[in-house]
Amino acid sequence: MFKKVLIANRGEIAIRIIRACQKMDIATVAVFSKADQGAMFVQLADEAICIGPAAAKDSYLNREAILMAGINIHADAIHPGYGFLSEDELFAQMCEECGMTWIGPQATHIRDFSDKTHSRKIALSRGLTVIPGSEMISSEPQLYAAANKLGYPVLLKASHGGGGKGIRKANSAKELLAKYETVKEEAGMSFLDSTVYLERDFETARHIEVQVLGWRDHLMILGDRDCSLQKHRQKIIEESNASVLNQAERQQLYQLVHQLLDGAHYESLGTVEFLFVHHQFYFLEMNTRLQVEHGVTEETSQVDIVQAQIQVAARETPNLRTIHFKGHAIECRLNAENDLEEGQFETGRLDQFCLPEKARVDTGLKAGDQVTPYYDRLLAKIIVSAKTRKMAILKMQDALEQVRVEGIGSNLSELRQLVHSKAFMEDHYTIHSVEELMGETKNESYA
Amino acid sequence: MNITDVDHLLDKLEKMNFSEVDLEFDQVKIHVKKEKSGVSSNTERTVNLPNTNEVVIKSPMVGVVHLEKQLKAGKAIKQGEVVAQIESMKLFNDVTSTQAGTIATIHVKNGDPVAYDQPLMTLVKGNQNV
Repeated sequence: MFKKVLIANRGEIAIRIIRACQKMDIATVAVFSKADQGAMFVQLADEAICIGPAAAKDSYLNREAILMAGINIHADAIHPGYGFLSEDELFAQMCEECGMTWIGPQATHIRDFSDKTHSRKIALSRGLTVIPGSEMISSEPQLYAAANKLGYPVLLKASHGGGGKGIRKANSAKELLAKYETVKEEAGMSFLDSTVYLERDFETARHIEVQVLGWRDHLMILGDRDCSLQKHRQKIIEESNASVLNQAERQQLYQLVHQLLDGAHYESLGTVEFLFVHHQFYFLEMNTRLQVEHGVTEETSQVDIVQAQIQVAARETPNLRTIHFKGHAIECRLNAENDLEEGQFETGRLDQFCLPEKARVDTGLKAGDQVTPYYDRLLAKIIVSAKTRKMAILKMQDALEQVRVEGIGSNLSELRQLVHSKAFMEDHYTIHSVEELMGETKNESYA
Repeated sequence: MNITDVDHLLDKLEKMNFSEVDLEFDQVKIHVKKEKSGVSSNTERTVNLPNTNEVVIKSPMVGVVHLEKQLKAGKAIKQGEVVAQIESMKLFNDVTSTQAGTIATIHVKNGDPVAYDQPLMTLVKGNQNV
């Protein structure tokens, strides 16, 4: 087993990884930017090294600085968390070249499965259904032809988009060109690549994903999650397991995951994402890393997913022979955002920050901390579990009542509204429910 | 316009030659005022050190420090003089002094691992050899 793990991340996920390491008697190293000097994760790690200024590109995305920190402090493995360099195949390779184990899949697996175009091809070749889409669009006539072929509404997507950026929905031919120009412009600005393609938009779909853990010849499925409640394509409420699936559907879903990954020798954690619409699963993409919402799976499977991931990276066999799924778990993401101005990221001092006691709370912040504009808006993940979905919902409603955020805006009232909504309580929601429930039906809202 | 865009913009502006500019587009207003080079790092140092007569030279990156030969307390340093190199991923990067002065303390030993912004040495400001 590793002696010292460097965590190439920050905030709540750095703390989550530190805790897992502590349970396994592994020493931890935090790397931090100047903006995070006083952060909780820096204090909790056994050792901490400042790697650069506040801007992520000079610190948490600075491969050389992180590797040098690892070499200087004699770390034997690097855990990338999620976001930042977690799906950077070059960094994965560089870690190994510098003599540190990358706690994640091999670089070739990152390349094959985390790139959307690549993974779609693999999925197709292995007999999975992918969302009907077009080739890359390079001209106006091609754009109209492709949209007509797919049928409206269509989604216009930048091929290097993500996190809700570079995606627009066109409801009719009338809107198509303007939306195309917008996406191209957005994509060119943010990703320096203005390639755009079309995808059929499913209005009643659920976002269902499967958690997997691979080691040597094994591929274990650690249950599924429903992450349909999204705002601007960012998940805000997740559940485990997906209660909308019946036994036959779940079996079919797991069969598809095996179809995709059996024989690939995929090692480490991964999540295979699907859209589920009219009893059909459409492959969406795969994430080759730990997910933000892994906690709900931990609650229902009783597996410490981060520890298992570290064990697999250390070439040990994870102790997962018998998994019994128990009950139902729900997670709400409490985000820093202005509730008046269309949920813009809000920063400032957390004057008051009270969190529920009878819930699992994963956070990197405490009252008095500054929320800086450099990174993400996640304040805390609030996770509850209970015997049934209904009981879990009541528990979540109660937990959210105990939350207090003062000093900066948050999406708390929105979360409360969602967990009390009829659609949520009756389990009749779709990937568009948040926008519908929040009355965001304006044309320019993200699809 | 999001934070990344602002970051990109500021990076670009940093390389341009002006002292103050107002930008307005897409309902976003941006006012940028630049400090003359040298001044900003100077103010940073005065914040860190109440003694304004001292200058702390810090490591610009994570790495291993290689001090210039014959550096010792009492030695006079010219402005712009290379005082050390930081080795990172087998590349050597010069560390220069932004001020002239005399070395008061050297905080690191040759070959020490250093973090970003870690103090390498403290100078007492002086005008000799400017």
